[in-house]
Amino acid sequence: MPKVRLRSTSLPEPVDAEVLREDQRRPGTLRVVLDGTAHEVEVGGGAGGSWLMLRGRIVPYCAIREGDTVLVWLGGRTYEFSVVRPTPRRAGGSVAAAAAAGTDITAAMPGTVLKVNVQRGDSFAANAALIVMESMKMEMTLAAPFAGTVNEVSCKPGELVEVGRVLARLEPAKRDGNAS
Amino acid sequence: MVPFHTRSKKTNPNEPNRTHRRSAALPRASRLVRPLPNRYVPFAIGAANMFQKILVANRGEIAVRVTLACQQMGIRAVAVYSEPDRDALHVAAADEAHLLEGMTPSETYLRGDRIIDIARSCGAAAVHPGYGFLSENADFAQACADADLTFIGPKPEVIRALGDKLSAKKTFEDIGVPVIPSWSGHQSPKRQRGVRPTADNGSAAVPPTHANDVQSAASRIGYALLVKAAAGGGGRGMRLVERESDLIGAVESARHEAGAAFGDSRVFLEKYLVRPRHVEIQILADAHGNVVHLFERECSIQRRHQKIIEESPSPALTADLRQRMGEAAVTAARAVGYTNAGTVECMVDEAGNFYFLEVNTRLQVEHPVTEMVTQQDLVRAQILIAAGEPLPFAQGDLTQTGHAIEARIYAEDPGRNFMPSIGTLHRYSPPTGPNIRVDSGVAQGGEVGVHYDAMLAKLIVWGVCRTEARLRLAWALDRFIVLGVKTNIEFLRNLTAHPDFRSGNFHAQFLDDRPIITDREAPPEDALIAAAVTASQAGCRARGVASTDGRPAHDNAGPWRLGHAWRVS
Repeated sequence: MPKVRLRSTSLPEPVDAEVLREDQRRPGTLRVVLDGTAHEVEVGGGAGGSWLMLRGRIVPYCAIREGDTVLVWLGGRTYEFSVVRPTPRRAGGSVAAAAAAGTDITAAMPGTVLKVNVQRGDSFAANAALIVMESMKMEMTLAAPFAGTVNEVSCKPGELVEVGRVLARLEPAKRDGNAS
Repeated sequence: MVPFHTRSKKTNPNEPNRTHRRSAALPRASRLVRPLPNRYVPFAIGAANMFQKILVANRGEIAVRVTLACQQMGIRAVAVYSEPDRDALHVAAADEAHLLEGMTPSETYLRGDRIIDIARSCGAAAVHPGYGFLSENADFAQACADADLTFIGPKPEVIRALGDKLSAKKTFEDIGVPVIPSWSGHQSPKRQRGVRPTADNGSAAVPPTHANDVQSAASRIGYALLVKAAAGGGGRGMRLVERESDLIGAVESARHEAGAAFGDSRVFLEKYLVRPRHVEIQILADAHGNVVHLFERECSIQRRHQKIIEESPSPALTADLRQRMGEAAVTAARAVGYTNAGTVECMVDEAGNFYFLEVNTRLQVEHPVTEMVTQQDLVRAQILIAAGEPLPFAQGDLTQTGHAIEARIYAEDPGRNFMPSIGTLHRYSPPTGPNIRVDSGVAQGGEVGVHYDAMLAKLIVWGVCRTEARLRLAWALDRFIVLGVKTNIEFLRNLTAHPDFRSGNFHAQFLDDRPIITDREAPPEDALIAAAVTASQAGCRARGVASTDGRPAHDNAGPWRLGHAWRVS
């Protein structure tokens, strides 16, 4: 299951979260790792509502994900998070890896292309910052998931792009180095 | 069955007089109603004189409320709706619905002419206006009557007379109901008639010959008092005067400011009420001369003159004061020939004096608190009265039992100065339980748009005492789920815990004096866990609703849409 990074205006730092299912026979039992601390969680609730059970304590909740926003109602309050895919932290902002499975760099959220650091034919190292985007006043660097060369650049600075739009096509070097 | 209103308007003089003996003073429709042998006989479904179909000329929760009342009386309810309201709850709840083309209120719910055309063409016998929109529009009430439709509310001339605040105040004074003491120069002694000491534009000074009049008027009213601009609003041209020595200076500066702000420098004096409470009396009057009051509602918790919490009984009223206010409201209603449901709005000062402000000639938003403590259905009563039925109860039959509190749930962002919040209600799940009532105008999946009022619902609770009701309200607010728009629910929850709200010691400026902070607390660990589970969709898979591509099977609106399915009843 994917790792996610949760941001909130009321959180001083983003929180890295990973949700693991340890036992396939008990699908409601999860291990949620928040910034390296593991929590054993039971998830339940059918038609009547949803709950988390944390060491026997029942916590009713309701949550939805809309695009990159997660809204959580819990304990009479609502909380809003934005979700990004985490990669190794770098100073000065969030760094998101390009889709690890493919060889395309795509926009992870709608926004504006700020900088394009490479041209067609350039070669790059793993984790090199290829493209910088801005979305909802947050800067996001799209880093190379591996070392390789640029086959095509399909965006230019200042351009508005939608989620999933291909920004560049890459070709891995013969020996892949995978960042995530 | 022929609806009564379509019968001949002339009674046959050869027939025995079947009408009520006070019929001369009654509106046309009710003159045709056969008097019941006993006025406590409850109305029976299918009674010959009852409406077969009522058009509900409103939207939102009140349209739903009225629709349900009609249906429960065996009456078909007709909805009207604007283009943005096609999928609204009040349309879904109705038996029949007709489009009012357009988007804005003035194109749709305020178009009395189109609403009357629809009512006539669909065969509705009556129109219920709800609150807001056309509910206090005397011209609309008259147009209904002219079109042979029963307007469920007072007579047009009563609406018109009470709609003018100054003439209503004069009426109250004439019948001896207390109003806030004031002096505008018109009421000065005879030798001053025609002279308005504070009305001559240009000079900011009070003429010396009139200064004595102002001073004697002020001492009759008593200090502290307010100098207010006749054309006023927004606090401009208003001065608080606590001592006689400050009076003339305050009048002069208020006139100067009023002249600059409104082009009209007339000012008047009014007694200043120290920390007043806003308390209102519910009245019901039938067409046969029966008038009752259904006790009071305390509405002091307001923000920018918008009520947000109402309760009954008022923590401030003694049994004696309650009785005197109720009797005064009944006297006023009789004096103006009031019929149907109405509300007398009053101010109550710290010394327990009450003053009438105005009469709202409609059903109020906060009517459910009265329904909870009296166990009466006010909308049903309105329909019975409009059909010419006598009130099904007398004053002595009414009791005020326990305590009810209403909180208004708004789509607004307390973190951004209560700006309206618009969006899709991805989750909407009001609390349920004994003695909890929710009058919703929306449902899950609905859109909250920019065109109309931002009130989503009213949450009303009842308890045997105020503490029980307050704790139940807090419990219910803690379980009121709204995701997709921001709401004032947390704000209300914090309010219920405020020491002054708990003690009942508050007044109409409560929220101005005490800003209730809804702090942006850091999310607790539980919320982060819930967010992580939702973001990763582990919850969906755990519940076995995921389809093969890892998305929830019920999700056809894009990736990551729904984390958990909540059933909404």
